[in-house]
Amino acid sequence: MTRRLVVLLAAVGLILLAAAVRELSARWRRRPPRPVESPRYAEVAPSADYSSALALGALASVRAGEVLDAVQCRRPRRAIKRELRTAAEPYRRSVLGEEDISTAVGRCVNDLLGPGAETVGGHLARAEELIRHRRRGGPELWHHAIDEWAARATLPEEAVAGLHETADRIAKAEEELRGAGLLGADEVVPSLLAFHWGPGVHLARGAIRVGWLDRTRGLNYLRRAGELARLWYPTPRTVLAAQLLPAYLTGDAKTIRWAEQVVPALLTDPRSPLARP
Amino acid sequence: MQIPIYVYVLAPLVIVAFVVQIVLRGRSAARSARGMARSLRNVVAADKQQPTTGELATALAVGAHMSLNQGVSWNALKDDANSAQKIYANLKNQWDVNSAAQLRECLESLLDEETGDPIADFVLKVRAGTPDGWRAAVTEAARAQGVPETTIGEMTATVDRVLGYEDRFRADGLLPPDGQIKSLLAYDRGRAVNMARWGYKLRWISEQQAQEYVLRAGKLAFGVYGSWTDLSAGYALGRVLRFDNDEFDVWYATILEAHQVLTTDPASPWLTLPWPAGR
Repeated sequence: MTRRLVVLLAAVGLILLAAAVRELSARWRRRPPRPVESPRYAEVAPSADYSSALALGALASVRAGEVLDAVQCRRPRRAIKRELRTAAEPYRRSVLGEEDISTAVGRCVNDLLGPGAETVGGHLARAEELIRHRRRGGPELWHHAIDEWAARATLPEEAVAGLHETADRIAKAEEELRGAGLLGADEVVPSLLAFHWGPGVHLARGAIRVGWLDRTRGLNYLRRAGELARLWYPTPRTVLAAQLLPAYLTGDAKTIRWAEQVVPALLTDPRSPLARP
Repeated sequence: MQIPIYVYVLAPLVIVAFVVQIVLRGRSAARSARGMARSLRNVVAADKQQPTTGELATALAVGAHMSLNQGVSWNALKDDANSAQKIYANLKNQWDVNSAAQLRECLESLLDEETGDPIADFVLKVRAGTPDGWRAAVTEAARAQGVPETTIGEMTATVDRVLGYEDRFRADGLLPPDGQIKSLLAYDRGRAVNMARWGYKLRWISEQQAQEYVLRAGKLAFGVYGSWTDLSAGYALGRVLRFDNDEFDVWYATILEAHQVLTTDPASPWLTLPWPAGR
């Protein structure tokens, strides 16, 4: 092997190694943080204006290690910024080109808590559709309501069978939530909307803290989220159940284990916004 | 060492290509600067060599919002403020249009009876008296058609968005005190006029085809709305529903400003041309 070839191979090797190290470090920075298991409290006097919003965002805040009983975040700004950057990444590009990070964060929060807040998208749309039919017809007439809608929408038989199967899976997941003490004996999940609102509230609080969201605008989001929560959810338990139902539906064992360990205390600790009436 | 013969042939070609590229970029930058200067001055520009009256001019006035924003002469059939390269890049990046066939397809979709927002179309079609009555009418009509409950939720949210925007439009003079918006089609028709303009500039469609598209867009708009301001409000709602986040930020500001210029500047076609009634 000539010396020239050795040098060439070494150069190529170095380039490949540098690329691999770069990719690994980017992945390391993007990794989701390990969920925190003990809730943190600021132990300040609760604000009635935002208590419903704080209850909505409690699960996301506990998971991130943020205090859950005050609007003001207590984590280091660097950690909040990293979290916001990750959440806003899909919102960085618009028809106007590459957006400023604060604009992207604003769009992200607006998407979760703005005018489209009462819209459930993505992988939860099917389950939400079925839950709304139960809301319309009541739990006893749930399957009947599904059949009635399917007939009007002229859905094929296999599709209708799939809907009934999903409805049964939702009922089974709710049974598991009841078994874990996360849903009351006679309660059902009225909607999955809280699944989006929870992270929305948590991100809005962080964005206010680091100045990426105008404080007045951010607080308006929180107030509105609280109003929507009171409108859609009869109890804090149903809010939590709505946020955890997707994990039970998909059999996400890690999240279920974490929730069963952390959530019961949130419902009884007097400092928790979820324990307040 | 002797220089190979092919270098003598290739080198001038490379230099010529380099110079041509610089010239083209310079031309493109000059055009863009002119368009930008016009749009910054926020005055209605007109091409003195093109007619400012007649059927074609009236149809071109349907796209006045966009031509004002981009500094294009309102009566020009061919874009006179942006270079072909810039238009090509815009069509590619913002519209996903890469060829003449895709441009024609896009034009046809802008000239059909549906806008890009079927939920808003549905909601505006079943409009009823009070806000509660409107929401109830939307829910009833949608349920009768087997529309999914989640979509019905989006529809009632759209009713609220439209009502919110209309209130703001009234406060800012975009709508008269008792005005309501009938349809969002103005947004598509206005964009169709400009799409035809761009297609002609890129030579993806001929002058005659561009005229036909513009005349069609005009005719369709005149059949739906009752005045230039009515058309402007429809265009504004279409644009803000699509892009604005209900916080009346930059998108709303650009629309409102353009509306005010088009309804006050003496050179505006909306003041010099009568609304073609009864078409």
